[in-house]
Amino acid sequence: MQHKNSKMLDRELKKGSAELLILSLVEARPRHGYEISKLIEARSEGMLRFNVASLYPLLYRLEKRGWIEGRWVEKAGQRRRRYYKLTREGRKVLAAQRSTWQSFVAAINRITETENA
Amino acid sequence: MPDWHQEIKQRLAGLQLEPTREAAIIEELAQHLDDRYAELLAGGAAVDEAYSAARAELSNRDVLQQELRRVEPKIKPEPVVLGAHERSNMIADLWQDLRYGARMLLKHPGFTAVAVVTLALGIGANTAIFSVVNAVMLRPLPYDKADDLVMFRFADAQGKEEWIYSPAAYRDLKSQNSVFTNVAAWGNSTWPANLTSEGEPERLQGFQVSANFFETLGVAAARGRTFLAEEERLGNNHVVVISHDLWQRRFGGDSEIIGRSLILNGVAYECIGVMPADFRFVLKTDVWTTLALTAAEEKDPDLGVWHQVARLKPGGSVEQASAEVETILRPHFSNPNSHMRARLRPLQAVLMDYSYPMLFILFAAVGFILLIACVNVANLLLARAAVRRREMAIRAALGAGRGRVVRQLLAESTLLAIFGGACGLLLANWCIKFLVNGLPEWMAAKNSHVAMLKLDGWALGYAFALALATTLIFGLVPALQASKVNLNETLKEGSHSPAQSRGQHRLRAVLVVAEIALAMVLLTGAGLMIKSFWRLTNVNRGFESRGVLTANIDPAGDRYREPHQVVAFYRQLLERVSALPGVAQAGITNGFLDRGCWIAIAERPPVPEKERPEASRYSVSPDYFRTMNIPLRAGRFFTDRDAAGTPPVVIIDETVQRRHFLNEDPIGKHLIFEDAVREIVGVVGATRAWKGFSSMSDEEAPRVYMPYQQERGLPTMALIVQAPSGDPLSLIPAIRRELAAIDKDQPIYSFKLLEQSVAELSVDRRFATLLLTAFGALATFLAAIGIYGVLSYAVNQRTTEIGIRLALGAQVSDVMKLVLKTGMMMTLVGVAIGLIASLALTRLMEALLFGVSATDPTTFAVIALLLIGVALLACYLPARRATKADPLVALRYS
Repeated sequence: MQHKNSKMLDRELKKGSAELLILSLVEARPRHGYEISKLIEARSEGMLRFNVASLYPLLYRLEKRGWIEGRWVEKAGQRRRRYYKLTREGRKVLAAQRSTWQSFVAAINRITETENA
Repeated sequence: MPDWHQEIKQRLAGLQLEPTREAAIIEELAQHLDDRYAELLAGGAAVDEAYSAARAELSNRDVLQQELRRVEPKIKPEPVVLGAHERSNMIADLWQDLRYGARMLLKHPGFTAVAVVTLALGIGANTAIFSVVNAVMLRPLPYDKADDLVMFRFADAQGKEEWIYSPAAYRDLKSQNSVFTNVAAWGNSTWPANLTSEGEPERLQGFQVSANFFETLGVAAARGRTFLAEEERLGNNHVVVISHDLWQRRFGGDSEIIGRSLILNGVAYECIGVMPADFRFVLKTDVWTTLALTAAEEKDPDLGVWHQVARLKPGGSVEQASAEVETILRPHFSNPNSHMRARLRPLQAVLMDYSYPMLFILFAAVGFILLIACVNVANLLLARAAVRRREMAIRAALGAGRGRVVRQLLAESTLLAIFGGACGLLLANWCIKFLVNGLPEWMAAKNSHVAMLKLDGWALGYAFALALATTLIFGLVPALQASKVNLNETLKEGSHSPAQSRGQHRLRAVLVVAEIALAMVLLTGAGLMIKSFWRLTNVNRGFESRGVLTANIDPAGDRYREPHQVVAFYRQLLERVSALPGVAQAGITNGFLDRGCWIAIAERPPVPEKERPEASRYSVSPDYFRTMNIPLRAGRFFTDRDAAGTPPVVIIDETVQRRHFLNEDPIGKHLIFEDAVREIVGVVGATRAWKGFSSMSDEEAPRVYMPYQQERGLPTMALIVQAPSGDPLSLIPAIRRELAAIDKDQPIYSFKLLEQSVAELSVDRRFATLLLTAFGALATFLAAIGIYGVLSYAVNQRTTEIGIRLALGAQVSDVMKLVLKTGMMMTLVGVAIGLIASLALTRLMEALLFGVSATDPTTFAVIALLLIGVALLACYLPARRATKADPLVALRYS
């Protein structure tokens, strides 16, 4: 039961926050898909994981909205990889989503803290 | 490493993605799975374990497809028409071709930029010159049904001309003809009018015209009216029509101008009309009045006053009209039995006589530039076609017919031409602004289209047509070449198909040769113009123009009816002006407006009047020669004692002496003129001046000088002031003051440095020279690019060969020679062809040349050397690169 609940929470949270996660990760510099998935897994200490079937459709969607831009980059001695970088539009969206998320987390915190007190 | 492609492809199958998009997704995802798989292995997982864990990333069959379906667009199903041939899909194909072409061009920005700039230069220069040609030659004059307006010329079979100007001839023609709706006339000299009412006196440019002049041209006044028939009669003739420009400039566009009285030459004229802003006729004119003659003048057969312009009746034939004019005017010919024939010419043709040679040459020059530009772009396309051989072969292998491939390539060149045309229009717009400022005033004065020259619909259409034509010229040959592919050879990886590239190389070489030949012709033209311009500006004119100020003056009004009054006026003026500080000498002359006369020597047997040699006759003040620094060769200058009442005298110049007094002393001999027999008292140096804008020759004309005090009736005179130190222009206020002290109503106008007037004599040629030089430079530049491009390409193609040569011990200088030889062969052949073409073509510009023959060997040699030099430079760069070829790299290449 415990396991099933955590899985459900996982999916819901992921759905709402996935865009924010990806936008944040490509904010500093362009990254390729595998790197993004590894970073999500590493930074969430294994709590969050995207597989291929969910990550790439999401990347394509963000790209289509013009928030990120993908580009094939060839580096010497490596296979070419598709790197995604944040667009100007994406930067604005990221700022907005970030503040919404923070208010949301703050609100949740306030509620849960009151219950516990 | 497992191959994930099939796995992923299966999951995408239902999505119907565009093939390229699908391939990209597969590549990206497969890479992710590879990374994951490798990582798992590295973490110590077993092979199967790693495989299934990585595969699990794809989830079950539907998830990926579902997620992607929300994002990725489906491919639009193309209608498959069974048995359709190409035609039914032409529009779709064309659209596809254009889109593909645009993508290809964007992918190669360097190539695209060079091609577009080259075409823009060609199309821009052409459109600009076309605008001028259109304004001057093609568009009808801005008069009503201007095609029906004709002028007359009378000449015999030998080209000997006669001008029939007398009032009687005009009246006869007007009353007896049956072929014209109207015959109008205008004075064959201008009517300078001193406007003294309304502020500062001003000298206006006027014309006397017949009352029906404007009616014949079919132009109405913008305000008020034009002349009535009775206003042609003496007494009724004090009416003027003014130009829009004068109305604005002098009267500030006063709406009450009609009916106002203007004082012109001391007489009141009523202003009855203002012409439209764009009205022009022959010369820039401020006022028009009627030409009213006394009864005696009307009958005077020698009074040459009228130019005639007539309007043909609708549908009337020029031949019939010519015959009738000849019949009517025959009694007025100097010899009614002569073989003089009347020839009617359209007014427009007459007016553009002077513009024609210059425009023709400029138009030809820009045509050449466009051809060179086309050749250059064709060369670029050929080089690209060689690179794209494999692409073409694959297209052919996949079933594209030759026509289809040609269409694709033509679509690309059309895009280039359209971009080039658009940039060319911008360039043309800029050029036209330059042209409007630089075109000689006389060209603009004749035709208001020229003065108001701008980029119009005609020019737009022309540029568009040019762009399309160039597409065909530069695009078709490379397209046909490229579509001729040998599938087997080309598709074999790395094969160099030498036979084909040799054929293609030959074609490119031919194009370069053509380009050099064209540049050669253009440069020769420019060279001849430069040389004749140089000759013209450096000709010894026989007088000193430095530090000399000139101004025009023409005393008019009641106080100057008698010659002695005029003489007194000038004497007073000269005394006062000579005394001004800074003035070394002052004199007067009738300047460039010389009058013709015949030379008849009293001490020789009489010669019939018609056979007497001609000379130019000047009226000058005693100090004129000193002021102009014209040297005295024998005898004396005039003095103030050579006046009315003393024996008539004349001074001749060296040209007259050389022609008529070769081995005898002319001093003391006498010349017979209409008014007097004059004793020759002096011989002065010969001078050259410009004889009108239509005359392109500048020979030393024979000149004779009379003291102005002995002349009856002086024309407009030029006051000439020599101020050797300081700025002569600073004397203007002082001269005006002195004049006002004598007579405050006399205007003095057109202050100018003589040096500047002399420079202006060649201004129209300066402009043509400048343009032609610029075009020549442009052509050379384009040709150099052409040689450079072809050689660079050839060097690239021959890297292996050159590498082997170097490896086998060839010296760097050998390789250099090898490449230079290829380039120089093309150059020399081009120059040779260009020389021959120049010999044939520069004859056409003979009329524009001065002091240099159209086949001037020096110019031809210098230009050929110049072009060879530039070509050598263009060859040197690729040649040097060839010598840098590393044998190892070159050999590995193959």
